[in-house]
Amino acid sequence: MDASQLLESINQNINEGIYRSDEKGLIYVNHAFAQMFGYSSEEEVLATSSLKLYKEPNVRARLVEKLKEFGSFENEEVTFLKRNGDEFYGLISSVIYKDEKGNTFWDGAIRDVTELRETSQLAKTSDRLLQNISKNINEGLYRTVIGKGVVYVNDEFVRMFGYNDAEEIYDKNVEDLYLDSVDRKNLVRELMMEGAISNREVELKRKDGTTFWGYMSSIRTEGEGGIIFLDGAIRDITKQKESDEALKYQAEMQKVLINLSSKYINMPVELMDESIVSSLEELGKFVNADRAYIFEYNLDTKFYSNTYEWYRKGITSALNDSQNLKMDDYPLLVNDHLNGKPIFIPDVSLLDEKKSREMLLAQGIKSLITVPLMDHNVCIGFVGFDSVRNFRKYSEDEILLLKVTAEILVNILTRSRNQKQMEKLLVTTNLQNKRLKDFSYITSHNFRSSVANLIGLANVLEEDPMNTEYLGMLKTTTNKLNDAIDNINELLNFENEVSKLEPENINLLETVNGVLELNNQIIKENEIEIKIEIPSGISLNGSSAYFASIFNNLITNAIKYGTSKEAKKIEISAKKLNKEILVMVKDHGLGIDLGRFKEKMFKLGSRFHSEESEGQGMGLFMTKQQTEAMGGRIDLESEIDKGTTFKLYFNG
Amino acid sequence: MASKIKKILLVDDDDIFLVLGTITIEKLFPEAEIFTVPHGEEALEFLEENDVDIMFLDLNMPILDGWEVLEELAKRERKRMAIFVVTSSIDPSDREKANSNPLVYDLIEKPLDESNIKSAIKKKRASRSK
Repeated sequence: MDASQLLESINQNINEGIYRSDEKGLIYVNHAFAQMFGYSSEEEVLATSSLKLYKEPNVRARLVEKLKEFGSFENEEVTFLKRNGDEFYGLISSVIYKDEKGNTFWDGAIRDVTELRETSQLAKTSDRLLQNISKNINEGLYRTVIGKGVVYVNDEFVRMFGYNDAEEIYDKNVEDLYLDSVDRKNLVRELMMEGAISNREVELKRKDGTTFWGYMSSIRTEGEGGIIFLDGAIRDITKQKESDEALKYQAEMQKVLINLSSKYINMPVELMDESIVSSLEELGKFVNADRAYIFEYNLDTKFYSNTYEWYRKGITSALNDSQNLKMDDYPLLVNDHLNGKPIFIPDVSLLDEKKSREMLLAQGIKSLITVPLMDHNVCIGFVGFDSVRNFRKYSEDEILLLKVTAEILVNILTRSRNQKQMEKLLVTTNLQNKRLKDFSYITSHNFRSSVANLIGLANVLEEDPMNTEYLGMLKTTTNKLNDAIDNINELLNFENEVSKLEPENINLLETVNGVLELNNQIIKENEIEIKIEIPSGISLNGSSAYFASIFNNLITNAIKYGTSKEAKKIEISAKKLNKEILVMVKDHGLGIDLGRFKEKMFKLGSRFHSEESEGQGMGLFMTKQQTEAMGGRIDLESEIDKGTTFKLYFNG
Repeated sequence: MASKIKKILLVDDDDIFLVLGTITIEKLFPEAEIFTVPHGEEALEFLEENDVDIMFLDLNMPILDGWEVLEELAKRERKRMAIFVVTSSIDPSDREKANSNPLVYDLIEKPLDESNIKSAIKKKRASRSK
């Protein structure tokens, strides 16, 4: 058997259609070719035009072109026509030759792939369908193989986890996609036992390390050879979760606000201070702050103070360090409030102003927010929240809520202030009433005793009109009556003036010298020695008339009762103490038994010297009232036979 | 009654009142001996040494006032005497205090004259005879 016989035998026995052709048409076909195209014999094929074998006539020309250009082609898919007109799909390959005579021809093979194509078409369609689904749905789809890891993810999955492509994920350890690898282990265990899980909330981890909440379902399937697939879908529910949280937050805030506004209805004023602190606690805990507080501005004096404070366990109070702060010293902490704006400092250490920064850092504060308390466009203070343990950011929503809180607090504060003022007024009024009542008893007593004496004197003078002793008594009595009237005026004026006291700056030394001038006569007559030790720079705040009256009273008392033939010295001195100014009037007279008389010293109507009938028990009472009206206080020290010292303390 | 009264004490810091009071009392009790002191402390000292039948006691006085004198007397063993509180006070609490004090016979408002002394004594007698 020669080579051409062998070739022919192969050609006739294989399933592919083999052919040789030239420009004019087919020259040779094998048996399979004829069968493939539905012809009874090879001869019948060769007798037919090649063009009839193609569904589209121009295909042959295109393939011949290709052959001439490239010399060969492989597996071109072509739709052929059978003799009866049926179509079939064939893959055609061909090689071009030139013989010794220069004739061009080509050999080729055709394989009928109709059946194959139909199955693959089907496969292709379902593949595309799956691809479409995978691409277009908002869920991340995946397949993992136990022991191997992720073998398939869709585009959404890649996007959801922030990777560039699926390959990157296939290279990853599956547990790295979870925030907590224990979650993954538990889910797999459950899948192995139950076969499926649905709608699990899991916190997952992106490529950049950030996390998100996923809603996850999965089923377990088994493939050939015991391979276990876990197929599943993940939905990103971070947004949903965030809006859930926001809703919850708002509901809680609403609760806090309702508590805040309803709690104070009809609350007695004495419970208010305590309640304001407990409201601060509620708010402070709600925003997770470490201190919550209220500061109140005094726009007249330009000072401000911390008036209410709550602080978390383990955090120190800053209340005592925050009293009488000068508003001008901390413009960055104050100025925006005056324009109704909140102040948010995310990082205290970056604050531009040294004084403010140092004060806040000393209190351990990392971040803070303060919201002004506006009462009809006037800023009366602010409510604020310190973060000591952590830095804290506030969203615009939170700031808005704090503003609402501030509005409620303004109402509460002004109500509390008004009620306190009213109660203070009531106390003052009661005190004033009591003072006026006491005073009216004393004055009427003084009047009546003088009038009683006048009646008695009139009777005795009737019987003995020329008695000069009685006439002298008449004069004394009328003078006393006159003094009582003067006293009434003084006290009534005092009550009037207390209410409209306009404080002025009074130089102490000048005031004392003025009083001494007035009493010059009596000082000379009694040969009193006055020693003054008052630094010329000391000045006091208050009414000049009151200071003059106070020192006049103390100095004349000292002259009248504190001097004797042996002790004629009176010392008047003043010095600055820590916060107050101390003024002392000291004599070296007989002294007072304070064990017996201290309580009575400043009482209206008390008198201590029987020899002096002109005393009406008004002097020290008035001195005390006037001193206290100017925010001062009075005390005395005395030792029998050594002397008495009156001590006055005024605000410096 | 007049015949029994031998010693009368007048306590007041107002010396004009002491002069006028003495004149008035002399008219009512011409046989009695009348003493005057300027305040409570001297009154107590006087009563240590002397018994009196009647004391006219002012309330508002320096050193020791009328109430303090009564407090001190309540603690002492002493001979019975008639005490009249004499005052120009219009404070109603003074009258209440005087009425409720067992040592006080009555409160007399100034000016002290024959008629109000007489009516105070009469009132006391009437209440005792009941």
